[in-house]
Amino acid sequence: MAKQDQHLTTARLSALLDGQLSSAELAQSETHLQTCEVCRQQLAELRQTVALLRGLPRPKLPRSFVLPTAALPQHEARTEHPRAPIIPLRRHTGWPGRIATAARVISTLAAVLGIVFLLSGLFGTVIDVQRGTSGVSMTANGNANGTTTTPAGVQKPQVVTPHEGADRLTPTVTPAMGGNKQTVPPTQQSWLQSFTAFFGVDMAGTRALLGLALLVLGIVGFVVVARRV
Amino acid sequence: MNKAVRDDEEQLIARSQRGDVHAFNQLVLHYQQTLYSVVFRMLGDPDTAADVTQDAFLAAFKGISSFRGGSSFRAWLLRIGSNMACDYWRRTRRHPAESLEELTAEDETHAPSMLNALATTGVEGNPEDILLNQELQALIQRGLEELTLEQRVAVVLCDIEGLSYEEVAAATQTSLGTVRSRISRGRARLRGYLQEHKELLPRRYRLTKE
Repeated sequence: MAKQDQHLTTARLSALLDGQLSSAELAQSETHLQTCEVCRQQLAELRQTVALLRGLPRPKLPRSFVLPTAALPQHEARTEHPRAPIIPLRRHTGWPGRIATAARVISTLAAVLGIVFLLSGLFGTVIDVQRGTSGVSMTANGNANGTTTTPAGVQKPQVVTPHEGADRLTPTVTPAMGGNKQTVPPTQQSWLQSFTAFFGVDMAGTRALLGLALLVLGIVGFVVVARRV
Repeated sequence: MNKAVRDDEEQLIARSQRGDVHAFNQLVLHYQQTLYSVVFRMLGDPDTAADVTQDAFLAAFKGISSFRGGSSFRAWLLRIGSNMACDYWRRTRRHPAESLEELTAEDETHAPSMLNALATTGVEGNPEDILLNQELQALIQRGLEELTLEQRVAVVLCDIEGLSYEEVAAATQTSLGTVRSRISRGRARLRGYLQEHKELLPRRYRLTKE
C-alpha cells in the first residue's frame, strides 16, 4: 500500500475537483484522502481557490463593442481601395506568359512576313521589268551553252529544263543555272518568286498590299500584347 | 445552448461570413460580456481591456471566413481575444519570471506550513455564497497576473468563465493533458499567492486553526 501513503499531486487534486479523474484514479484518491489530513487540507484549499475565482463578479461593460455599421464599409473600402488597383494589375500581369510570348512571336512573324512581302512587292515590279530583257538574254545564254535547241520558244520551261524541281520555277531561272554571270540576282528572284508562288500571290502589287497588311497586323498585335503586359 | 439558439447562431455566422455586419453585431451583443471579462481578467485594466476587446471583435469579423462550422464559436472567439490579450501583455509588460512553471513544481510536495491560509469554513466552494469585497477582488486579480500567460488563460477560461476542459483546449489549441496541467499549476500558484497575502483575506476565508 505504498502508493496510498504518497500524497496526491496538485494535478490529481485539481482534476478531482473538476471530475476529470478516471474511476480507478478517483477510487485510489478517495481512499488516500480518507486517511490523509494533509491532502484533505490541500484539496480544500484548491477548492477554496476555485471558489474565489468563480465568485469574482463579471466586470461591468464599459461600452458596447458593436462594430460601427456605417464606418465599417468605409473601413472596408479604405482597406480595399489600395488593393483595388493591385488586383486588376496582377490580373494583367497575370496574362499567361506563354500566351503573351506566343502573341509576340506571331506578331513578329507577321511583321517580318509583311516586310518581306512589301519589299518583294516593290522590288518585284523592278524585277518584272527586268525580266523582259534579262530573260531573253539568259535564254540566249542558254542557247549559247547549247544545252537544248529552242530557237523561238524562249519561255518554254518544259522544254528547256531537265529538272523537275526547277520546273516549278519561272522560266528565267532555269537557264540561269547554266549561266555563270547572273547567278545572284536570279536566285534572289527565284526565292521570292517561289515564296510568293507558294502563297498563290504572283502580282507584285498584291504582294505589296498583303505585306503592308501583315506588317500592320504584326504591329497592332505587338502593341496589344505590350499594353496588356 | 439549446438547438434553436445554436441554429440561430449558425445563421448569424453564415451571414457574417458573407460580410453582413449587422448579423455579426448580434454575435457581438451575445458574446461581448464574455470576451471582455476574459480580456479584463487577463490584463487587469478596464480601458486596455476595452481596446483589446474591440480589436478582437474587429479581427474576428475580418477573419470569420476562417471559422469552421461545427466547432465552438465561443472558443474560437475567445482564442482571438486571449491571443490578443497575451500579445498586448508581452508587448507592454515585463513578464514575471518564466520560471514560474518550475516554481509551481514545489506544490507537488505538500509542505504542511503552506496549508494554513485559506479556510473551507462556510462556503465549501459554492460560488453563490461568496460575495467578494473590492480588496479581495483586487488581490485575486493581482494573483492572476502572477501566473504565466498560458496558466492565466487556462484558469480564466475554466474557473472564471466556466468553460469545459475541451473548450479550453479548443480555445488554446492545446491538448486536454496540457489544459489539465496548466489549470492545476495555475490554481496552485494562485493558492500560494493568496496564502502569502492571507492577511488581506476576509476572516471567513482564512483557515481557522493556525
